[in-house]
Amino acid sequence: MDDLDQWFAEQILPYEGALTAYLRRVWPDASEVADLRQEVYVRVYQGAAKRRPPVARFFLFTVARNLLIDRLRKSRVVPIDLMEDLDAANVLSDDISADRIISGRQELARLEAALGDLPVRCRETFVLRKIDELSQRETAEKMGVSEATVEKQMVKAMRILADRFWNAASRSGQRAGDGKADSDEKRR
Amino acid sequence: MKSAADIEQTAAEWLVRREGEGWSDADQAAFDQWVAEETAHRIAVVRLETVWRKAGRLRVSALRSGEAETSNSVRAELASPKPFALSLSKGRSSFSRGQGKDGASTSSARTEFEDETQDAPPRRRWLLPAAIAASLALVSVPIYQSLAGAETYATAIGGFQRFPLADGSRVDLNTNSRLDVAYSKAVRRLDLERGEAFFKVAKNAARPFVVHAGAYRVTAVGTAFTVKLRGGDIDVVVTEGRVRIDPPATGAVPARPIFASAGQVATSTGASPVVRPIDAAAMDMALSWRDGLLIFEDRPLGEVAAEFNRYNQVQLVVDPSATGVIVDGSFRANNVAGFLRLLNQGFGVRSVRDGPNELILKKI
Repeated sequence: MDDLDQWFAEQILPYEGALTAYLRRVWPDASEVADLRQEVYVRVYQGAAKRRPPVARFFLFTVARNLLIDRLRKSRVVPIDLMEDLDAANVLSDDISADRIISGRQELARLEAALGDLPVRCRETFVLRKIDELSQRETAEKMGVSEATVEKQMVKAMRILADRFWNAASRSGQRAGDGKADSDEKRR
Repeated sequence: MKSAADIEQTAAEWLVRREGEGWSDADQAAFDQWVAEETAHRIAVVRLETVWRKAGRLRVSALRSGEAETSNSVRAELASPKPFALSLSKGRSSFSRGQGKDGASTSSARTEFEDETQDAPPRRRWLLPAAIAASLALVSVPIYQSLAGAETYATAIGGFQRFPLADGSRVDLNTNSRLDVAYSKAVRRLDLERGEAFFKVAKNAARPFVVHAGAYRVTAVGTAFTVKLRGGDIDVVVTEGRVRIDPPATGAVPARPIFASAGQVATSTGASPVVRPIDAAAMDMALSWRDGLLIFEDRPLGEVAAEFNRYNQVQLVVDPSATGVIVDGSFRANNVAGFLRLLNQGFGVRSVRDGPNELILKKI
């Protein structure tokens, strides 16, 4: 990872939860959110390659807002309230606090929670391979599966862990399907 | 642009395969090319890899949560009339895999296990601290436990771990290091198999704290010090108190122990260690890795490059044209890119790629 990658991981990715929540809230089609987010990331990354923005989160949400406006211009029918909602300033003031910077302990707590979200076989594979540092073959033997299956489970584990980790970065970023987090939210 | 989900899937497949045994230079080149193809590819890799690397550290946290449980187990063993179990489990509770899923039943699980160890030879076992099982609610994180009950802590290149031990002592483990911890009632034994570690030792005169490094033994009672293993030689930097160093015996003659106190460093080079004082600045330098920093005060580039190489996959090789360069400053140990930029701008030293993980530093 070079400097820019590191900047991106430290300054942008921790807002993924907030960004996802914002996109979900203002964009009518939930199935497009992941792709929108990807496009926002690409624009942010390319922009930062030219000049590193002084305040990463303002830049991130400005880029997100501009992207949505572009998209709306291209689609002909624009719901009026959507344009108002787009104002990313609301997001910036309300949803994002200083919880971006998290301690190592919080990180680990978050990872442990994410580990708990893995399906059982997937988690077992992850633990054998990544924590016990068994080889792929040893893991396959222990689990009684093929090496290809171990690989598949590891790919799955990697994707779920990343999703849970970055989306926990801000409470507002919890996914709609995340029942446990939702009920936590209500209790507050 | 391809869908985000597809790109993420492909990136994850690459990253998983890269950790496998069959990863070749050709694979690396193909991967590099894929990453370079699209910004979206690169971002997907950064996003996954950052978490993946952090997830590798889960072991430490698991051990940390296990501490409370450990003290229980020590108490249980003291009360136990079975001396056999003690020698095998060394102050650590051990469960075979699958037992103790629920934290409440651990004491019975332990008894069962200890009974078993009297007949069965020690073998690779799973340690499942009840506290973790409880904290993760049904998630069991088995910790690798090597023979004879020793616990193993290890860091990868560029890694760092800080963790407490059962007696309240603390350890900072530097890059590419491996430490086995085997506490018994009589002695706190640690084996530095590789690398470097800092120890802040909880005082207990009755139970010496002994670090084995290569053929040397470093003994402390209420002390803070680092031990660094270089091949078969050691460097010991003492920041507090006093340590005793036992060099290897020569033939049948036991070597005379050597003592080093706070503010001193003991260095062995094939022979008995030499003790000399070091000043505060040198002390800071010797310990700077604990803050993730490398500090150099007018050091030759070769030495500086060697130090960076301890922390990074990318290895720097100094071309004869650049050996005269003297470096002064502090750097984040993993920020090779920043260091190279500084070399380029400040010293006219350019880096030239030579193989997938090798850079040659040349003075223009």
